[in-house]
Amino acid sequence: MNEAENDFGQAASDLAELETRLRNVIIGQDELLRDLLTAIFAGGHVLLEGLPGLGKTHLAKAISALLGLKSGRVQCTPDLLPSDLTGSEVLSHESGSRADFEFRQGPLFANLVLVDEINRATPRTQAALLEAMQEQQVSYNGVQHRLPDPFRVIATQNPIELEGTFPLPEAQLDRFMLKLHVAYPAADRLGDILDATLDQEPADDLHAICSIDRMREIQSVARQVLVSKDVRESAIALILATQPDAEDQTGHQHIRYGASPRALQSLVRAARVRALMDRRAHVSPDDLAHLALPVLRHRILLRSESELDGNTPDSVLGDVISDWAETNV
Amino acid sequence: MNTGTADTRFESFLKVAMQRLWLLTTIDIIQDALWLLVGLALVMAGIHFLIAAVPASTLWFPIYLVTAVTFIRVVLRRPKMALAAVDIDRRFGAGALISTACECLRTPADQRRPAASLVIAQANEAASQWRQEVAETLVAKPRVSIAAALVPLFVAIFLLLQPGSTTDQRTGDIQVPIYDKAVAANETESPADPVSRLRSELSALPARSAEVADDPVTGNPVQPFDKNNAGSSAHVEQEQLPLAVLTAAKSDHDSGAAGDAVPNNQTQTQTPTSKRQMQSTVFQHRLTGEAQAVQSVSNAAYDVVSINARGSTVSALPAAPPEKARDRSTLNTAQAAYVSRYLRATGENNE
Repeated sequence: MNEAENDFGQAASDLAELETRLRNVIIGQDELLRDLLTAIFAGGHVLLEGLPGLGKTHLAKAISALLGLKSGRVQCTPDLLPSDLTGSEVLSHESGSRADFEFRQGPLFANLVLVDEINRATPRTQAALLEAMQEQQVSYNGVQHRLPDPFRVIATQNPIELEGTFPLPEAQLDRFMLKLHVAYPAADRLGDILDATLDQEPADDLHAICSIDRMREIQSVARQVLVSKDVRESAIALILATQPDAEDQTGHQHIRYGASPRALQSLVRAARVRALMDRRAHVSPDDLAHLALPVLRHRILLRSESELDGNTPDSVLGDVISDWAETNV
Repeated sequence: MNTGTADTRFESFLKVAMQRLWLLTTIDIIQDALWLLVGLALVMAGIHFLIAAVPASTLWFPIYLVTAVTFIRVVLRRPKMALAAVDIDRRFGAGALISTACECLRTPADQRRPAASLVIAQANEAASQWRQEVAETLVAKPRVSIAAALVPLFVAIFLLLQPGSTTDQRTGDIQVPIYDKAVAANETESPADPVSRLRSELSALPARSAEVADDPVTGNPVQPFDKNNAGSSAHVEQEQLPLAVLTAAKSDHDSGAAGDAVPNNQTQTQTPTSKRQMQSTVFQHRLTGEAQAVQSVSNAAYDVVSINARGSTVSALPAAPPEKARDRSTLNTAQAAYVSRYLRATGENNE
């Protein structure tokens, strides 16, 4: 029991340390940082949605620096080709050997890839990213190339200036574990942001406090967090509550398509990491309740008439989660 | 840490909590059963007073039934350890700690995951903190609702013990005061009671004419009958036979109310339009037939006539007929019948 207690204790301490360091770099986004770390250690990809200038790129750089991860960055534009993400073959001449094609890896071949403004890329380019996110490999010219492990994608998109953008298809949206809203910092934190970033960039001075191996160990410990039968049933009940044929549920009349089983997996995996962050070896319904909105908001599709009435996925899910929490939390 | 000891302590905590939860559930079930019984008793009391009398002993059936159902519910609601753990998690905000530890307990120690021992240890620590709180929270307290249910229950039982809505008040012979009530109650419908029917028919008869008819025997005007002088020689000298009248005195009957007598030889000429009227007409004919022997009609109040339940009349003891009238060979049929009746009534009939 001591070994297990040590493992859990140490894993929780490392996660807490990471969170503290990130809060020093990214000011005024405490809950966002916690959720982001949750997704990364749960093995999932994250979609960040926020206005320009809120530190999304800065955040990705800080995380990759603290975790000692190889980072890559892609700025999506409409003329971006899939090969610009995956890489391509180039003709290579080495001295004394005949010319041959060599596969040059693209920016996807990194541990943490920041894909900026993903909704500006064409659907063809988005599809190339889809295979990488799901299969952790890319295919080029019939050859599969494995991506490094761990492989995480942090994609960003701008909620305004939607002209000339290509909304992400549901299939690709479903592959993001969490969709997080980057909120505008509170007024009292703007001064702290100014103080911290006026003369230097804090992320530039970050050193790794966690190696890739340690990251894998923490992930292994997180997989040992226990999920009781009651919590499992609560998670299933929450996913079922988002289905359009759940006539006894609150939001069924607004939802056209509900959450998939992949959402259930994402929810429980993320809840495990969150429990570990709280130094618990078991998942509680509170973990599910907190992660329900980030996990589900990008996985449901509302009816047209509901959208015309001004409903948003967040508002509909808020009612669904509230009703679910009355009997499960 | 000794895993076995930790398991035992946590399991004992769960068992105590489970028993307390069962006790609270049992009290809830008993409370529901009590209110159900109150409802049934009040319904029975309502039926007892508004529709038909319900014996109080019938209340035993719902008591037995509700008791049996309550017992079955209590047995079926015995909580399992897993459900009790979930209940404790929600009551004390444990966040699935107790239920997760309970699941770990059910797994053999050598097959448990590494985190199981940590969870059980955390659950033990929490249980030691909550043991006192469990003892204070999960306790059977007196409930006002149960006491409140006893009041209407006793009221319902008391009401069931009272006489119901349909008490039989019939008697044998109906005397005049009651006869009055029968008349008043049956004025608009044909009464089933023959006495009441007779009385209603009597009341339907036309009022006796103030004029008296001539004596059919002597041809002399008929003098009013004076019961006080029924045996007087004046009556005898007038060779009048006293009236054997079928009458029913009313409580408010005055000396002028003699509507039950039919004038001599007067028949009802009105065409009967209903069965009641027809009965009245027939009755009047009968009266007419008997009244042929009537020599005098009096407006005075007549003696009470006793009428038995079959409706046949027994006239009051009439005045004695004149001596010469006792020789029935000189009388007509009606007169002879009258004299015979008199003699029988007085016991003088020795023929």
